[in-house]
Amino acid sequence: MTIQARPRSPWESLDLGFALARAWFGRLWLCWWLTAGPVALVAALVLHRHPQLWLLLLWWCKPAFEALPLYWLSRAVFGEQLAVAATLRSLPRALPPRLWPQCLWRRIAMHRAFSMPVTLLEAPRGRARRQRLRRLGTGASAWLTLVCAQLEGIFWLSGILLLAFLIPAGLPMPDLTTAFVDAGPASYWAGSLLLLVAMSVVAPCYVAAGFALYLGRRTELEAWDLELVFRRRSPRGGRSARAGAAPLLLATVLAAAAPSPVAAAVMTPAEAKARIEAVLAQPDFGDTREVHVWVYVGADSPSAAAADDGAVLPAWLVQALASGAKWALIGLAAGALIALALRLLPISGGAQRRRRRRREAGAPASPPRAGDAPTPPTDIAAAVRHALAIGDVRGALGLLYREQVTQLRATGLALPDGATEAQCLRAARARLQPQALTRLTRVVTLWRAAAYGHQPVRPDSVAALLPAEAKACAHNDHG
Amino acid sequence: MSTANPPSDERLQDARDALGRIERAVNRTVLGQRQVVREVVVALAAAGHVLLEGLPGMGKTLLVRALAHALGGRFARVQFTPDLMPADITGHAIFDLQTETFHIRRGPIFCNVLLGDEINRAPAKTQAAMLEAMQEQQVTVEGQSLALTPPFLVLATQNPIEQEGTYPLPLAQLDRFLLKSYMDYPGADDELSVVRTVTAGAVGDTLDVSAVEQVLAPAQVLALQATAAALTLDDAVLDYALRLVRATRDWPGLDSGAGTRAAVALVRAARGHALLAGEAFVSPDDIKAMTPAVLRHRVRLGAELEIEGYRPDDVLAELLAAVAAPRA
Repeated sequence: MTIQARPRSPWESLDLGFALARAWFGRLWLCWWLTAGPVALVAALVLHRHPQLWLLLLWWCKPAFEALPLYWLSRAVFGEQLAVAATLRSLPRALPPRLWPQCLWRRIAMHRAFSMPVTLLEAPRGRARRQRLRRLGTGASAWLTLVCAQLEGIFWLSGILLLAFLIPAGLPMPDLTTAFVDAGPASYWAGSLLLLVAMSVVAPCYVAAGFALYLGRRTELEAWDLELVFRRRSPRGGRSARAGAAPLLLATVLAAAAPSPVAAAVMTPAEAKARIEAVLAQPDFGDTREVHVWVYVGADSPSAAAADDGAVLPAWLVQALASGAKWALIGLAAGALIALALRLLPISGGAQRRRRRRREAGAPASPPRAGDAPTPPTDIAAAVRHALAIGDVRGALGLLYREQVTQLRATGLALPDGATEAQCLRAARARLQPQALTRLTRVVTLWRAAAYGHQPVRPDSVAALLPAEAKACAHNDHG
Repeated sequence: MSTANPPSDERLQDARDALGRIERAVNRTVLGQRQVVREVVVALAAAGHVLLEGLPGMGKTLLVRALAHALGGRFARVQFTPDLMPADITGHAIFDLQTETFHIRRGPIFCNVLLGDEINRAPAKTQAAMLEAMQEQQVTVEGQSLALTPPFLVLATQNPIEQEGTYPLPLAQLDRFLLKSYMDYPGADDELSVVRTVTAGAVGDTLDVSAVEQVLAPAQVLALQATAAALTLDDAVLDYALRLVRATRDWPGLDSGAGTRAAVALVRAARGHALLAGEAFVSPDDIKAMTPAVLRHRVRLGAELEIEGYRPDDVLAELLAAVAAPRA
């Protein structure tokens, strides 16, 4: 692959970066996994109970994973394609200590793709780095970050949907929401692995495009293309050009922004002038072309011009409308982001709300549920006493039974929604202490008799099953 | 919802004892098929018919004969074959040359317990001859409706493997069976007992049910069925049964779900199960226990699930876990 050094617009540079990524995708992808793979494995061993933290850690360490592909690419662009062993040996150089800030307080920066080559290859520090970045600008790196993030998302969702579509029609479809929000089940791990794969696929493109932006910007600012031409034309530069211009350019890249001494110093001014004129005489510098195009300049008649003048809105109104439209768009975008966050973040209870909405809408795909089994109140004793006070013995027993089911689930017992009283009792036998099991058995017996058998149950026997009363009874029994 | 006159404790106790005696009597003869025997006894209490499915030699015929022996009453057996005609089951009119009149000769269906052996070997026309009898407890012969003597219980068997030369039962016919029970291979110990018992002093292949004592008279069976029908049924339990049946209609993987008759059958079977368990009321556990037997022949699996080797019981188990049981 031949890369021509010439000034490029940011979009051309991005295109060059994606072309580089396509050409060397395998090597860049391997470089990414050389650092990401071990980290993912070790993190999975440590955080296997916390898949969200595992995913967050890997996402946060992306700059460290991208350093090795960047290092390899910075060599490959200038003709030095490192083998795998050499790449592994270069790990200490590719992951210097100055990478840490990229993984810490600079992690969220939108211009990371552009600032990484500056930080890792030029290695300026502190104020010098800031000045250097200010001088280079950031090009379209923020757009690059945005597009690559979206690409990751698209690949991730596509992977999940592909897996879902591979399930034969008619087989029970897994709940896809668990791949996004609920931690723990296999589908969430599968979703997380797919996101890691999506990150690894996009990373070579991101790194290469950021590096190409960096090259393009430096070519534009520091006239590398001219310098290469000068070098080819100078006696010493000619030898370099015959050997390939790349090593020279590499030296330039790695020698920071300081202008390097050129071979022109050994020429006389007359010789230099002649060479400069020869260069300027080349088509790249002296070519002029005359182009004729039609341009609409408006109507000739004064009346039409006057009518047009009358239709023009006042400048202040145009300004106000534009400002209003801008703020409306900002508001819409903010609203959409908030709605998306509320929908996706488990901390906001989005999943629960979604399930509740689906129940309310009566979606046919979801299994029908008992609509009259609300969550037991926090103060169960007060609620039971109130139910007994108004003569609702069945309601009081229902509260106690649901509280028992909730407690059983809190102990880690997997009780499905369809678990009946006998199933709860069977499951509880292996988990509960004899005292608690006795209370549960009593609650279930009275509940079944009152609710399903319509048999009279004395309120005081229900009140005796309240947690505090049960403890007191047990204490007295032991005493 | 509850019945106006729930059965007394004494009546409940009698019914439970009678069912327990029948179950024990049949279990003494048919070894290693406790679940199937229990389901058949539940169907007896619920006054429903049973379709028994199992490989040859699993004891299907023996079970039915033992049950008929324990119940007393009249027992009949029809071996379904491709050339069997409806009149061979229901009966027909014959011309009496002496009196020059037609007389109705009643078929084997006029009994208390009918064993329809290999029911799927007869064509649909003959199978349909039993629809009226199973649903309305009557038979029409030569335009004349003849009532069957209650209790009337049909126990039909079919072989799930051999499909050549068989006529699968249509859904309308299947729906008439309250339950469908699978007779699987017995455990090693049970099988050993079967072989030892059957071969001890026996000559030939005869099925000896003489050891089964008669436990009930037909009239007592009717009383027992009335007791089951009078058990208390709460609205929450009824709602649970209905939600289970309705869930089959939208459940992924099922081409067709169960109809309203299935909901009725589920409640009836649950009453029988509750009575057999000695309860005075129907609970969600009874509904859940009977759901596979009541619904497995009323739902139709999608082609994909069948190819994947799923059985209706697998889907019903998922459905039972997902449909919320009443808790308030």
